[in-house]
Amino acid sequence: MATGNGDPLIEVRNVSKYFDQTVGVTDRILGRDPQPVRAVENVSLTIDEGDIIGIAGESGCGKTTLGNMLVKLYPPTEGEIIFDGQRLADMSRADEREFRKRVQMIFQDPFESLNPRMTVLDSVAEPLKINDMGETYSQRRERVVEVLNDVGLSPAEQFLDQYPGELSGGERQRVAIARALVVDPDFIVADEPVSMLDVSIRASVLNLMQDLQDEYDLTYLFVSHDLALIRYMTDETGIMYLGDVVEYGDTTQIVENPQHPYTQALFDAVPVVDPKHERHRANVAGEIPSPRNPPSGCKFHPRCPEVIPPDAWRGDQDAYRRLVMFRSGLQDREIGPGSLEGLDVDLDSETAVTMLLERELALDIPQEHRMEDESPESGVNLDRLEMPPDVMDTLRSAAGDALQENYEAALDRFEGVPRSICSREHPGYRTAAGRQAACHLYEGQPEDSLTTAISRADD
Amino acid sequence: MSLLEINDLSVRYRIQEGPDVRAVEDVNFTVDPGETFGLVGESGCGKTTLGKSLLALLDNNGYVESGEVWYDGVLPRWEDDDGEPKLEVVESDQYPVREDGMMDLTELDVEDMRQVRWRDIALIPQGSMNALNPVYKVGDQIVEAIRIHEPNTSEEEAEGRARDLLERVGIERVRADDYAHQLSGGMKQRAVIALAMACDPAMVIADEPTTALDVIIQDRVLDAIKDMQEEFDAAMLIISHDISVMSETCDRLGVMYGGRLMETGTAEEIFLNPSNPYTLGLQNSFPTVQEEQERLLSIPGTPPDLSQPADECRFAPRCPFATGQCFDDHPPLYSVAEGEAGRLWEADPDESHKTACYRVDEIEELRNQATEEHVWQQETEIH
Repeated sequence: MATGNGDPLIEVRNVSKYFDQTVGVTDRILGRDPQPVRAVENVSLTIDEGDIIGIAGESGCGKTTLGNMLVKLYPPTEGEIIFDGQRLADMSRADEREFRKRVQMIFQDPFESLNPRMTVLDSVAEPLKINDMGETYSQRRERVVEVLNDVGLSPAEQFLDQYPGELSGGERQRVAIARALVVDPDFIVADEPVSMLDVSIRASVLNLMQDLQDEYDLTYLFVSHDLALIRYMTDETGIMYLGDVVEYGDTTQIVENPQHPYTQALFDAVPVVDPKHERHRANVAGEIPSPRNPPSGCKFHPRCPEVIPPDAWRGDQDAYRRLVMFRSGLQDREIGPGSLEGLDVDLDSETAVTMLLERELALDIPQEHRMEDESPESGVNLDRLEMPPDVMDTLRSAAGDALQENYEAALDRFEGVPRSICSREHPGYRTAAGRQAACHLYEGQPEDSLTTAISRADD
Repeated sequence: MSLLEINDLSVRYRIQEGPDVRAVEDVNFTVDPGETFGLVGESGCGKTTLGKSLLALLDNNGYVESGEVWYDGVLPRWEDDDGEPKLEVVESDQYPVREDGMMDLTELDVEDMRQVRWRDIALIPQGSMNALNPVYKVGDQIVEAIRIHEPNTSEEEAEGRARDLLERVGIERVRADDYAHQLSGGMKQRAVIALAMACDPAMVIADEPTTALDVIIQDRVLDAIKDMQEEFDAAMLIISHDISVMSETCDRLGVMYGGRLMETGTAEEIFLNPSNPYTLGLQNSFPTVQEEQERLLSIPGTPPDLSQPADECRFAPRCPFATGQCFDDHPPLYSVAEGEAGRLWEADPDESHKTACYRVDEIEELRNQATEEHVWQQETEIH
């Protein structure tokens, strides 16, 4: 596989994309500020000619938004994208026409991305017409036949007059690939290109895309949730979480030895085909928070198994992790009288406070990572936690407030409790085991920006 | 004794023009109590149709053409005071009940089938995140299921049970008062699992239970399914295209292709000693995170047209190992153990590892050849 040996083709500089910044009528009357969805935040990366880059992450992490910005489907809210030395935002009409020819996209669903009323010939020839390529019908037809043969639809003549409805899923995706290739582009963004295809067909489409890379001198950006596919296809990968690229580097290294706790959890969660293999389960609590109101500091910190206790912390790390989770639960107003529903207990009593803490300080994580005798239903034995006594008192008072649904007061109780760097500061990129991780665990390492780090690595 | 015994089941769909589509043909397998059996295959292989046909939930144009689905249990009105089938029901030919007390689900009428669903066999349907009714509270939907199938339960008791169930799948009791849109995808999926378990079924059919979920959530939902299954001691029939999920969750598996069962065995047998060319091909084409793969190999060609399948092994047109016999007739299930010893013997019904392949007596050789790229390229012409 070709690795970044060329000049930078695409530079992404501090790019952010916020959606839904408008305010509705009700909100305006009530004087509420808009709360945009922060789909992508402050992402920088460089894609060299000939690279195959992967962007992976769970749904809602911003990976598709990033891909769409690179093909100029919409502009970034902040930051700039530079394609072959030219800023996307400054392009003239003529520049943009040229750009649209050089950059193509392959979509997820070949059942929806092809017009059902156009024959294969019309579909594949359409980009040629739009881009004024090929003077005559027969020239265009010749080019289409050539590309169809390249994508493995041969003999091409047999497919020219067929409609998408007559083709299988694999064949349709090949037509979609042909449509992207027919204008001889330099850069292709492929957003989940095989996720709609069956396993036995998938491999052939992936192999085709690999083979075409050499033939057409392509640079690819692969967007996918499928980590196995990312591993198979890409040279370098960025892992995204809630709009941030949390780790970036050589794909094999990331897969085999992930540095960011989120990346570790992500790979731990992938099921293994070998039935004899007992894998470690992902040690991560809770679900992805809303991108409208992401957590402060490192966005992953409330779920992170390795959240760093502050220097002044006198308990152990496990206790601190539970404290952080409890506090974030209060912030989201998820902890309260509802947590004790079904239990016959007086909400004003000390027993209720103890029960609330037992339940809400318990971690909802796979068994192998829990304390002995801990379970999400019965909770955790408070005596086993290495929580400093004064913090335990704070927790008790806060729990009491939460039971009265007095969340402001509950949160105020934590004023004096030292806060982790993870919740205070957004981590910059540090070099960790040869790649970039945005995590405070690697605080000792020199700070880096992704762009400079990558160009340095290439030198 | 098995909990579910499927004998020569064939399911077809009527279509407007042409002969009926043979979606499932001559499928045999059993599921034991408490066991997890997985049906794995690609889209259009008939796995979902098979799952639906067990509970008579096929679309209007679908019907069971032949075969039986024996279930270890009878309708409440056919039970005596000890919960055993009444003698007259077992002995009379009027009732679809065998001597061993098993009941043929394909013979039940619509009303009787309703008694079986949920109480005996529950379904977690495909895309079940969208199976919750958006205008009812999640808890009320569980209460409704309990009260319809167990009319003697009081409102309060059902309410309490609904909240218990939600708590057991990791959803706080208060969330019972939430509507579906207030829950995240993973929580909706958990709620549907709670819903399926509402009447303590002996068996649950789960169709693609984690397909639309992200990996971390999928991991937790699989955990929830496993916990619930252990707690309720229910058998599971999981239907999925996801090979890795199946390998982690299932005790035994059936691999389907073109409406036929191609190979069946324990998860270890299927994944460590695959014995059907289709299974071998699937393994080649499946990317994994665990190891670096030089090149994935795809299976050439496309799945067969099930409206007019030829009298040949369903996989033969795509199979690099197909020989003369393969084009004459679809093979029966052969014993893999005998095949490994170089003999071609039809498998006993209770044998574990079986494969529908005429060349199972050369299986070692086929396994070796199947790893070679050129073997699969012979027929790369596309239809």
